[in-house]
Amino acid sequence: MVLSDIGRGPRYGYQILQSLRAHTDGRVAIKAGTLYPILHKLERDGCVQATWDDSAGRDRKWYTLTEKGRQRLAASAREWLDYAACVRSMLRPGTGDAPGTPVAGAET
Amino acid sequence: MTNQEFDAYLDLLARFLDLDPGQREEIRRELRAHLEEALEHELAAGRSRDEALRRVLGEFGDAAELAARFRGPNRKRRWIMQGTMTAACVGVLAVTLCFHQGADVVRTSGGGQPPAAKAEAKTVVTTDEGIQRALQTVLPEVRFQEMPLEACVEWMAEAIGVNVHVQWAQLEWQGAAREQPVRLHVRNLTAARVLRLILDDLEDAAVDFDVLDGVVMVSTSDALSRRMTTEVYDVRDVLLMVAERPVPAVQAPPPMVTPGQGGSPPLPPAVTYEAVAEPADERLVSLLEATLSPDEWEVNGGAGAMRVANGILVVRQQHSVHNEIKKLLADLRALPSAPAR
Repeated sequence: MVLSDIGRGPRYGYQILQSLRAHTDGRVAIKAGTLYPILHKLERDGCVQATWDDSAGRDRKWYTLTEKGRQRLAASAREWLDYAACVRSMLRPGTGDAPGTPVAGAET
Repeated sequence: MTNQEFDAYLDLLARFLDLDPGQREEIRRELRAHLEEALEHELAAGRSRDEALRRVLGEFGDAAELAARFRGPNRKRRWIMQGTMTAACVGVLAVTLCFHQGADVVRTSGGGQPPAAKAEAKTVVTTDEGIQRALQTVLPEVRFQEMPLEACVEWMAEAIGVNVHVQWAQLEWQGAAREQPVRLHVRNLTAARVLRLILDDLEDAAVDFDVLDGVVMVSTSDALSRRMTTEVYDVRDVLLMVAERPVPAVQAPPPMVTPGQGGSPPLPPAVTYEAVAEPADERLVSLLEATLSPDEWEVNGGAGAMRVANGILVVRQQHSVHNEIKKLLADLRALPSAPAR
């Protein structure tokens, strides 16, 4: 999910949290203490690139997706959607309406 | 805007981050920017400053745990992790150490204040007696979650202000690794007990600790037991207690001052109770051999030895047994002196 958010354009940490919260109606509210280690791991893995910029009057570390990150996002999104489709097809006969499929890809 | 609370938190975090200074500074810079922005938003939402601080710092959680999450595989897992004790305010806001005793320990209790749990530079105790006292410090709560053994021990050393030396080569020889994860959650135990629990948890190795020349030495039981020292104890008073019948002329424990009987020369003590000294000696020796680490004495095939001469007990033993002897002698002396009444 972090990757998918960065996939929409350059992001900095605080913004990612806000954006995830907004996109999921607050249902996904990961904590800052969880986010930053993930970001740093993604950066180490070469999935995101970071640059510092303080032109907005505030010191910010901006993350952008790399090609590798894009591939990882596509792969995990596919995986997640497959899984969700599978769960959905299992639930449908018995329980009527299945919960909505998440729109974004997952990155944990 | 100056935010000492952020500084305190970031300082603490930096201490736990085992990264090179550049990386540490970068994380610090990034998190500080986040904290400041988040704080502004909280304040703009109409919260009090205290409440806002609690919320934004709460988002990051315990500094030590956060540092652990920044762990990277390229750093050989040498990480200082969460040697944390529960924070006073919001669950995991701060690392808070509250000791119940001792003048030389830190007391940083959160209360209603923002987290300012910065571990202060402490004096390190280097006398054996001081270390023994420090080891008796009661730790209100200790929680290790998969914390590497090495970090646990370092944390412990820091918490009670002593030097701890681990003979890793000895431990590794027996299959205990620095990275071995430790899980522990206990309350209100002494540091010595906590250390014992940590070490007892190592399955493959018999690991022990001991206070040796100003250092808490952690090593295999075998290695520690090889370190024999000789100590001399004045047990004249104890011999009197152990003697089957009290010596008529001696009324009170310190016999030095008691005048000799029957015209003895003016070096009276030995002479005074010479009649019973022999059996009392033997009784004391067999009492010690039977009750204190029986296997460690030469009569039982161990390496330790002891002799009594003129009320002086000379013991060659490993340090832990010496400590047991001291404790037992102290206990004996603390008994109500029945024979004297």
